[in-house]
Amino acid sequence: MRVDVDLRAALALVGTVLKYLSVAFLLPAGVAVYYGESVVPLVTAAFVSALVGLGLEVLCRGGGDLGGREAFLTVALSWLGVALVGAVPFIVAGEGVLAQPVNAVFEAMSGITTTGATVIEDFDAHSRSVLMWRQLIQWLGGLGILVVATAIFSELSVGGAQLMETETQTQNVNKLTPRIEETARIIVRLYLAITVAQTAFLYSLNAVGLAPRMTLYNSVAHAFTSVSTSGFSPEPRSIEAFAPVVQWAMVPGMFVGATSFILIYYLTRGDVSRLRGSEEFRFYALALSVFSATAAGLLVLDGTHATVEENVRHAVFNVVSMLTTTGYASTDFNAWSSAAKHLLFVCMFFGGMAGSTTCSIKMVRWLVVAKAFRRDLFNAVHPDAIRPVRLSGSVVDEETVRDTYAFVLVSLVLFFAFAVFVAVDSERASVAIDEFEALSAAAATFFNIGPAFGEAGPMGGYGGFSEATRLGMVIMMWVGRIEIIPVLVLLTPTYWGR
Amino acid sequence: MARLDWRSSVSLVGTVIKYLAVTMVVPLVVAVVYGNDIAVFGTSAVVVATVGFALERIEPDPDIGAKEALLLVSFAWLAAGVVGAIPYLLAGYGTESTVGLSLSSPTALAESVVNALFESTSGFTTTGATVLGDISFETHSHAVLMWRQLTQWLGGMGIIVLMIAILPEIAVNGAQLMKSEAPGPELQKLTPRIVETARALWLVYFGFTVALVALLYGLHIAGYADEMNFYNAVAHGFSTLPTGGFSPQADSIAAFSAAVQWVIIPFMVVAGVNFALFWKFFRGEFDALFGDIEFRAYAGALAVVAAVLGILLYRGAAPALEIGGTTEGVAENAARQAAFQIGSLLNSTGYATSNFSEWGTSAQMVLLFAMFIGGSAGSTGGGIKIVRWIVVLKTLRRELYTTAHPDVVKPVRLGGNVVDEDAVRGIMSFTLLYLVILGVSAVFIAVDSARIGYDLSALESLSAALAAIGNIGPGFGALGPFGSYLDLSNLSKLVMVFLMWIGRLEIVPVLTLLVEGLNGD
Repeated sequence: MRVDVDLRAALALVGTVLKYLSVAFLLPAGVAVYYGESVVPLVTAAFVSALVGLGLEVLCRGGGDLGGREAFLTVALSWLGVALVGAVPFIVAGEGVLAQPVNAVFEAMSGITTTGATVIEDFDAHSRSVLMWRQLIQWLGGLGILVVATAIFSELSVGGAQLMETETQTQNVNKLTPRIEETARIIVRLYLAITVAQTAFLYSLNAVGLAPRMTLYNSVAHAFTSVSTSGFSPEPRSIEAFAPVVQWAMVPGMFVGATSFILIYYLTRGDVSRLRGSEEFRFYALALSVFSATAAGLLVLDGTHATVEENVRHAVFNVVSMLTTTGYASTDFNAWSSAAKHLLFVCMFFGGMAGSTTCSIKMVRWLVVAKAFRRDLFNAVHPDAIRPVRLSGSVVDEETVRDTYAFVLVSLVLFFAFAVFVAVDSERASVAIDEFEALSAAAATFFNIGPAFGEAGPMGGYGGFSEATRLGMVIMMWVGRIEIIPVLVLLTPTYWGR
Repeated sequence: MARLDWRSSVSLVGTVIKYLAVTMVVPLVVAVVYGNDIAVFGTSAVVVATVGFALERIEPDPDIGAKEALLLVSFAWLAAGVVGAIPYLLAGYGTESTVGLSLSSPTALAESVVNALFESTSGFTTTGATVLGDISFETHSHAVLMWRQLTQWLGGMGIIVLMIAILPEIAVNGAQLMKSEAPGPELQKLTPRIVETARALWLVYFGFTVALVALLYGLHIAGYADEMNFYNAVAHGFSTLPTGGFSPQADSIAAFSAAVQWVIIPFMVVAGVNFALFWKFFRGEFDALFGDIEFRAYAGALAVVAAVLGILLYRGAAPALEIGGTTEGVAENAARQAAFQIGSLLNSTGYATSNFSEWGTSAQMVLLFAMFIGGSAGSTGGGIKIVRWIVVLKTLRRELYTTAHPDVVKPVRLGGNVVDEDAVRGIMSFTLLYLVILGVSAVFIAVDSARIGYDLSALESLSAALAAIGNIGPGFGALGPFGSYLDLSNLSKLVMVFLMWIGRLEIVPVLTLLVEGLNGD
């Protein structure tokens, strides 16, 4: 069969991504120098990254322009490539369980996909520089998906991009580069600004004496993983390690991370009407409020924590964390009542807004699905009436409605199939988990959330799962992060042919 | 559109109820033969007939449009569930029966009523989930257990279809009614007149039932099935063809010999096929059956899933069981258990010949997978249904194709015909709605069970919701084929009643009624 995809163009671009990735290793290398730790793991990784990147660029020189199909391949391979190269520091450092390649790749994939699922058991075994790399890779993953979602997917009409509030739509998918650069520049600037603001805010809490543990190191580390809604923390007890005020202070960070960056961009230019007119934003805010209030009610009724403030704080924090697919925890919610745990489980299927760093199914899709259901019911009684689905005032075309149905359906089916795989494979490997744990672990990885329930809970890790399960999770995190379709499409023969 | 004319709908529901009273003649005859519960069924028939006549008089000249049809169909099934509970309540009064009326305390009263309603709805919707604690002739009379079987047979081909076949006044807007009741995305019209279509379907259904009863009883006479007396032959004829799954035997089909089990398998398979295809088949259009894409997919799915399960069982995926025997290394039993359980669960029957709650995880997951598939459109089977999965898969393939080739327009085809985009959307939305309702109910049942201190695993609560909305019957764990739903809370049982109801009517009619019907526009 003749391959009709411009492999050279795609691979060369992956090479460029890896080439620039090597620069990123300088930051944790700096941390290593500051704390007097070994710089070898990070420098090695930088070399590997640069070498592979340049190698690909040179070998695949002479490719044509990047078209739609090449873009899918580039995106899919970039995430895979960064995860593999990102695992190098963990392997070279050889600290704790991350010395094993499967674990290292798991951790790196969990990082770059902004998942936040970890296999680390003993945080003390790891040097600060390596842990900072673990934070940074999440930040990069968040930035990467933002750029891809807002600049690339929106041009290709996948990944819910048709539903996203974009500036303009262009039809020409053969000349992506100029627009990608323009959009990407805006997004990068905004992302940086939010990260800096978050760091400054967290560190200022420390400076005024409210948060003794929120050192500069921790401020940066957590700013990295909250704006990217990813959830790694260098602290073994996640956000439980910090003062209540810090826990409250981190809620808005996650909230912003899961808000459409395009809306935020307009907001920074003083355009409030976009935000006000966005049905998705209202739905997102409403869902968060309702789930938080319900969780708070349940915790107060159960008397889970000592005071009302604690109950409310933990309810709000963990609902926001799970719903935005961040994956921090302010307490071990494994200890919550069955009802409260199931509520968090339901939150996992939502995710924040399209055009943010969040993953999972996303608000806008549920909104469109709900509206389309409602319309279908109307049409059942009024077969001749034509009533389009409207979102924020504009008509959603029927193809997009169908795409949305298809996406949600595929997500649910893949999630469930994967949960079955986890359950069966755990049985095979004699890993004792119950079905709820299997379901939650599948959701937590596929929807890029992080912690699940049981052993893989917020204070535990995924190290107990069999090697096959962990590799399955690596694949599912990857598939889930880049919105499923770009990976699935690579598996069809028609993609490669004419 | 005119305002909802509820009087017409309710009046016709009265007609349906009136005729349900007539069907109580069957258990009444059984009662007379066994000399037990004669008064119960006599009284029930009179009460039900009275209610039917009373409702009928609300509107002497019923005239139904689209909304009224939805209301009629939805209410008729709800009413059947309520009416069908009366014999359970009366017969069980003052006995140990879990579905018998209990007046000892308000709590006991509520529980007994909910249980009876659950059992009756599970019957009519051909689910087969039970809350009978003790299924035996000591606690329940032959007549009551035969009524339980009969409700499934009546529900199988559809009570509305039956009414259309015999009542001219309902047949006026029959097409609309049948569309609301018929399983599957579209109704195949066999004959120009809807009355004849309804009669044809019931005729095929009746024919298969008679054939099965004759075969089962024949086995008994020939000495291959000691337990399969005439009562049991009829009872299982009543619950096989509607993909029902009730059995008057506590051990379900495991109570019978291997020969009986092998005979029942093909009839369960038949029950999951579009009955319209059989009608054509018997008129000589053989290709209509074997050339049908849904039939082929259904047969293929059955064969593949059963083969996988058979291999797993042969290789030791299940321990040696008291009910079901040893399958590891025993080819006949492994093949029979695999074929029977898949034949039963894939198309939503719900019989069992092995206590699959005790099977290993991998074998159970195969069963769970099968439970998501469902029968064919136009069959008596429940679930999502084969044709929907075919369309969903083809649509997904199309989505992937157009993602890579954005400029190409490619329709979804089914057996050479283009499926129009509205139908594609309808099928996608149904499947999604089904899964969402399933997930939400599963979570609800899990949380509600934890509330009353009944420890239910995630798989058990999921299987309860799936068994109800898919009209399957047995779940896993404590809710397995030889367990019961008795220990669930009243609230969870009512949720399951709701799920069975909307599952049988394929969700959309009921939801439309709830959301749109009450709008007066």
